[in-house]
Amino acid sequence: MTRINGFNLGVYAFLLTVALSIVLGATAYAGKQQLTAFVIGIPTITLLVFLVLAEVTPRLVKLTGAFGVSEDDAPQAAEDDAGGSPGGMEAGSWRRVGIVYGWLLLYFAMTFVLGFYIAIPVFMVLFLTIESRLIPVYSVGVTVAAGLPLYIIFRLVLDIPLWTGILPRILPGIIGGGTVPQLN
Amino acid sequence: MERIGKIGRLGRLVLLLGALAAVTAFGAACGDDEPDFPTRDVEWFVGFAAGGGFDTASRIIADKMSDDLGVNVVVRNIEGGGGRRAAQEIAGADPDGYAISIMNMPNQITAERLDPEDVDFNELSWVGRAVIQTYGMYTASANDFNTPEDLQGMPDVRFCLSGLAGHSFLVASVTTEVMNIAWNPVTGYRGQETQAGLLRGDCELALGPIAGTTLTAVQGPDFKVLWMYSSERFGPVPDAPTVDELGFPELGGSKFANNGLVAAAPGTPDDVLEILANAFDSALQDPDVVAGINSAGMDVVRLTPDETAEVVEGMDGIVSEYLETVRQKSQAQ
Amino acid sequence: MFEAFLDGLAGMGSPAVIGAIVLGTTLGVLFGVIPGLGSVIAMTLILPFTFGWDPIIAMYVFAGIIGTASTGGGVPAILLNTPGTIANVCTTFDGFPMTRRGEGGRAIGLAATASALGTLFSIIVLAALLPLAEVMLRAFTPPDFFWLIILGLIAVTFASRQNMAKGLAAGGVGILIALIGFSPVFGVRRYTLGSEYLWDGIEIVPLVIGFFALSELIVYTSRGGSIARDASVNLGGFKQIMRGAVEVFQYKAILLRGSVIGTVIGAIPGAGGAVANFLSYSTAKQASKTPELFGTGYPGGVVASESSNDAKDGGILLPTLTFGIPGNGEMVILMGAFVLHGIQPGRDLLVNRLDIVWAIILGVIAAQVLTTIIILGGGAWLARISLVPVKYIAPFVAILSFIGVYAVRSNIWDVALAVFAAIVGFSMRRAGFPLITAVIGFVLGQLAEEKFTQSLQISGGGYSIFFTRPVSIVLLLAILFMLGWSMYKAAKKNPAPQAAES
Repeated sequence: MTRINGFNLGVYAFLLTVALSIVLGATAYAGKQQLTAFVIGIPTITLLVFLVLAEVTPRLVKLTGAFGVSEDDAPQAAEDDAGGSPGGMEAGSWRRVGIVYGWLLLYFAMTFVLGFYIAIPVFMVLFLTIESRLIPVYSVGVTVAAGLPLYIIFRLVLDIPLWTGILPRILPGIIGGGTVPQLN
Repeated sequence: MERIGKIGRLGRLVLLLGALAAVTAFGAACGDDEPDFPTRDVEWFVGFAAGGGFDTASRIIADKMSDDLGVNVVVRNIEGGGGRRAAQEIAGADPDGYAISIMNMPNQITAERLDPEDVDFNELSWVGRAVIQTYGMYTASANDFNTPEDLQGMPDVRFCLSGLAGHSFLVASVTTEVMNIAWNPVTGYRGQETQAGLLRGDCELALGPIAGTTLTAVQGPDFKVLWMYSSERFGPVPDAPTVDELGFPELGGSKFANNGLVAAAPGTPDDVLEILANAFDSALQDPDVVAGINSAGMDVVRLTPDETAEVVEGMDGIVSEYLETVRQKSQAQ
Repeated sequence: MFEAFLDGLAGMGSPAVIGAIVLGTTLGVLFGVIPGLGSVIAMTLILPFTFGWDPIIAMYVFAGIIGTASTGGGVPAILLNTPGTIANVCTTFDGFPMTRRGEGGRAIGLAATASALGTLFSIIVLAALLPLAEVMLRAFTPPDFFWLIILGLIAVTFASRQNMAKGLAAGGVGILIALIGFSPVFGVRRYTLGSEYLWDGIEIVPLVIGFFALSELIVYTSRGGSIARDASVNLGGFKQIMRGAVEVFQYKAILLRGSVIGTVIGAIPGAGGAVANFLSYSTAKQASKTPELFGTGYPGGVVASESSNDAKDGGILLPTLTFGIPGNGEMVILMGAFVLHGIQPGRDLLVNRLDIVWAIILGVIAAQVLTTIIILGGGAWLARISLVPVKYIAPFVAILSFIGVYAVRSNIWDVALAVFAAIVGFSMRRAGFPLITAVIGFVLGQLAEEKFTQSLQISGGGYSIFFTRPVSIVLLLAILFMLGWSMYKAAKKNPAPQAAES
């Protein structure tokens, strides 16, 4: 109850930054364009400041009970959107969260640089081998079994043009070549 | 988010350098006058949602061009900013003819002038005109006014418009100034919401291209066209007078028409542009293509690349002429 | 009218029509089940192919997609806490906890049946109301719209249980970030920091995928195990699904209310399935004798959510068919299809092309029945997904989410936004913020601003426009009633403020 939750404070600070930048930014716009930003923004900022104060000043916590904000409630509330059952936010340790998010970042980086066609199979094989501890042969097998239908659905049937990566866009500039002209 | 923009720009710069290098190397290696174009699919950008008028026309024309060019002309919707993202995309594309884009003119010029984003429409390599949509002023049939005189007698006529930066806003500003009508915009009406607004009485007037679903609506019993911004009677709505007939020839011609103009990247080589323009023009001469476009409520009036560039220049002039009027009205809101 | 109906019914036997319905249904279920993709994308992708087809056949395909996407979207909402479409968000509140209890099959049975009944209800209402469409449409003016949105926002905040301060703050931030981008009302771009990416504002799909699908992925993958935490629980297979399917009838009031709300909200252009979904869920909770059960895996919650999001299909067709005024993205594409096939919506359609109207109506019904059969039949199998260890599911969810986000408008930065939203969403949840109010604030915020400004433009600046129209007054009373009722309930439940929850 008395321990200050630094993580919560960080989240409040982030949301405050977002709200403040919109409200302050609104001053640059004329007339009615500011209205919504102020009408919504100022109460939002007030609430967030209030939450910060409640976090750092234990005495305020009692008062905040009126709003249903207390440290006891916080985990319960988090469950509301996770589905509402007890333990909705039963995530693993911060280390595990970091690892999983790292995988997402890695997958995005690969997609960004190499494109979906290369990133998907590479990511699948890496994830299944390292994270899911499948033996590599199985990983490749699962990847092929899962990737093929994906390719058929998205590329052949629906013909969605997927991102092919940043490399083909900048490589010609780096190596000084171009696309090879067709031979006639 | 700032970083994103920078990478994008850097990427484009590198891209442009690469393309330049490629073009130079290629030119040096071949030294041939027969352009090797096209050897792969051509992309046709549409800055609007699938299913709209320009999108429909683009798909019909692109399909026909594919037969002619022997490669696929692939329509890609790059929605954003009322077509402005697609304009930026084409303005920054490789000048190799593998990307072309349809643009909503002079709408996009107005938007660019009011809120500059470094796209110079006069710099683009214009291919031709895909479609033209004639502007008209319309209202709900239940309203009892019909002529500019009727409107002059009214206090603050309300116009249902999409926003304060579009071409309809410009046309409304100019019309009311020329006709001496007191008015106010009611904004945020997209597509058919405009007609709902008229029926509900959110506003008295609306104006825009009499094409597609708007044409369908004004041909029905719920709406009537007060006048058309043309010098000759408009075929699909023959009963509506022209602005010339009403005594305002300065609003006539196709000055305020909506054009679907097609451009390639700035600096596209002439020979490549010619191949594109020929394929484009022959597609527009195909009866099926014309019928398809007509059935979507748009007209085909073909233009050569040079004529198109001239039209764009003319539009630029009109927008400049009335920009101050528009700006003042928009700031009064 | 009746003759055209019989003709339409007879026409449904033809192989082409059956093929069209199967194609539409397959696409709808597929795109509905895959988070991020939805009916609009499915319809957009198929639209160009229908160009040369008989318009009736094309309409059956579109009807198939319209009728099924939100039904399909309920399946991942229940099994993976990942709403397949935005209108399935409330299904996760109770559907996912049921899955965790090993009752995923039962939840799927409930959802499929509630969806089917919701659709049938709204389609019947649609057919009956077609002649009255004009009156309804004229009744809703911008100030009425404004109050409707406010009602929706307040309803959602109350739905976020005791943590009102955080709920309101999250909703406020949602509204604020919705202001980013080009404002159609003012014709200016705001808060874009000069970035081309922010031109049209924050995209809803990457935001929702990041907040729900990917942040949930972080939760379950970091925890390990399987989605149904007690993997030893038997899902019960087909029997359990059928139990759910039959059980729907125990929640008659919720079902009926959800269907009515879905139909009515659907008929108002712009409001859409998500609003209907939230409103139905929170109304069901408010009216319930056991509101504390909502959000804990209460079958009634699933019924409230799934009946409403499918019931909107009938409502939303009303203004589209009668006036050619599309209420949402699906209807815009349908309008595009009308134009493509030379069909004129409105009076012409209702008088001369009743065959088209019935093709759509019958198509939606047929597709819904087909989807329900597919989901009831395949649900047991689908439900097994929840028993698979998450370490095998995670890469698939990641891959599908990325593809889905990218496919919406072919922008790789949308994928980056989704990844960013994942960590923001995860952190907000950990700090006790309900993401739902943030998302609904985001969805409704700009619309509220637009309707507010429009109202003032219409009145020439006078605020009395908000309090003089009959519909506005009814909505305003509903808002006051809702506020009063919640306060009364809160006061009755917690005489002392600190007593909350303990």
